Amino acid sequence: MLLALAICIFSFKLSLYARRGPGAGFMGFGTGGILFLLSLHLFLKNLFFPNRETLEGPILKNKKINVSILSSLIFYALFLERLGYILDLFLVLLFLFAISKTMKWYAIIGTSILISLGSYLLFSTFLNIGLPLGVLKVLR
Amino acid sequence: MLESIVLGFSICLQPFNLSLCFIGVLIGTLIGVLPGLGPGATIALLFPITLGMSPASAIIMLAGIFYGAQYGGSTTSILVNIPGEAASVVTCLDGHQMALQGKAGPALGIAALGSFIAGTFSVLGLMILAVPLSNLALKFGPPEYFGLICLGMTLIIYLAQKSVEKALISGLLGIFLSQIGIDQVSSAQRFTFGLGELFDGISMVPLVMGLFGLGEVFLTLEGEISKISVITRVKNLLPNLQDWKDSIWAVVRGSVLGFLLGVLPGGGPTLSSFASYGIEKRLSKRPQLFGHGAIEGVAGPESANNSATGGSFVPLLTLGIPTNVVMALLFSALMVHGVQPGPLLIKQYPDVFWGLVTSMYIGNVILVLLNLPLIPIWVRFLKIPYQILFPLIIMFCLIGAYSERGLSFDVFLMILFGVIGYLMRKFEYEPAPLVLGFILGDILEESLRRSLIMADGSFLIFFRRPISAIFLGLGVLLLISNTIPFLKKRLRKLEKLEVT
Repeated sequence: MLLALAICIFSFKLSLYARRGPGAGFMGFGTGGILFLLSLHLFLKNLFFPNRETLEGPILKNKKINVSILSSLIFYALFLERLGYILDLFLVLLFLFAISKTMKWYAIIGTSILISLGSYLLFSTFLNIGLPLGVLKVLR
Repeated sequence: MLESIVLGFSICLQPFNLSLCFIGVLIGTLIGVLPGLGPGATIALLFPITLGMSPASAIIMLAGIFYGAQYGGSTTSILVNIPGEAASVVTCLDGHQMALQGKAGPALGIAALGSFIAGTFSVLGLMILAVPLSNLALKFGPPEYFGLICLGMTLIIYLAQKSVEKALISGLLGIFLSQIGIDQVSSAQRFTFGLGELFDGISMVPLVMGLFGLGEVFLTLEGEISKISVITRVKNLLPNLQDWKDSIWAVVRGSVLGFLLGVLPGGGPTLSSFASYGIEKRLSKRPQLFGHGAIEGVAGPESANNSATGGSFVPLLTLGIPTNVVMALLFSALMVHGVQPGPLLIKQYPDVFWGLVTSMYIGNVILVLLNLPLIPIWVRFLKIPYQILFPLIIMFCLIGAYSERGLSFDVFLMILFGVIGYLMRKFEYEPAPLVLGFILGDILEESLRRSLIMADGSFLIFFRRPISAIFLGLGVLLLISNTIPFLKKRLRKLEKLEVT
């Protein structure tokens, strides 16, 4: 509901109607308005008939693993340009394989190196997708 | 048309494109076989591979991935009883029962051969329908497009597997997300909060990879990943004469029904496989066998969902309107490669259109020739633990999100949409209407604004033009029909109260 309200307010500020027809905020205002009405409907429905909507289990049931993955992904996004794709992915894969607890430490290191180098070769060299080299630029 | 078909084959049979089709089918099956990964997620994950290719080559490979993933999903349904996606749910019912009875071979065989027959039928249907429909679509103005998209969105929401209200909210959120960026008409910045990365809007790839790839990983890892039991003994892949007798009409009916439902906005593989199963059960002389290993319960839905795949290409390629998530992904893939799907596609990019159509046929042949002998290998892949797979899925998501625009910002967006996708599944919101709303939002807004400019701001233009009035009327009827059961329930409750 709050999001819908915010959409309406921002759209209203953008002008709903211009001289030549509907303005930049016209569609957003309509979308936000309907979204608000629907959210209100669902809110009231849940308020008066609370048993009707069931949640598929508690949120973050397996908190530790999901939060760990999320943190590692944020780390990847933050350091991608600085560390470069190969090193950044290697560290993330190392962490992900380690938390999955399915391989021995030397297999984890070996697999992570292979995948990060192999994927760089495939995407950057063969498929011409620009992936940052970061600190490894010096090796070029 | 013959010239165009020859052109299509000349493009598709080029060694490079042929090998792409082959690799697409192979990789698509490989990933589609893995439990929990349907065609949508598979295409989203493998999309970056096609970025460096020409439009025709890219779409040929993506179509191959789509076919492969669709077929891979059936293998998982039959051997593991885990549907890769909604369209394969029905295959589990009888397919897995057949596998338990030692008839996994004929079940997989009829699924592949039925899909091949249905695929061939739908390619023919696409070739026949595409040109006249494109010519008709050229006569469509903004009000007609607006009406058609509204009807399509309504159908998608109406057919939602869970709550209709939640599907509507999901679709509206998608429409809202499509508005982020600089407005094409007034050049005003909308919902960008001054972030330069948002001036061009949100990119499709991080959105889809987050919602489908990462969101699914979060959800799967949350549950207990127990060892799944895979049926490993697969023999006698070719169905015998009795199997064919039992299933041939199911294949024929499934092919026709699937194609017709695939053409409908909101239709597609899921709806057609469920409809086909219902029809086969009703027409069968032995309905008691359904759910206990009836071969026609595998043949019909498998043919229907494959035929629907071809059918779904009709509105995408002729009207420029994707009718389901996979088509939305292919739509955005074409857009990324600078090809605008729609009525002018056949004229402007005959190589893309006819190359795709013929590749669908060749892809179907490769599917049958390749997949049946490789089933023992797919069975082995099914045994890879998810703990090893999920880092690889995440890696594809990370590369995909970055590769389109080369921005770390898109990786953040993908992570954000991954969390949103996870929460949506938790709260029983379907992500598919969001993606469709996102894709169709731009066209919807453009046609609405252009129509209102044409009519000096009068909304009556949508009802004065007969085609748009019909589309909108049908949409309203659908929404009203959805409230009838609710009203009936209320009335019954009131009656009960009055009696007591």
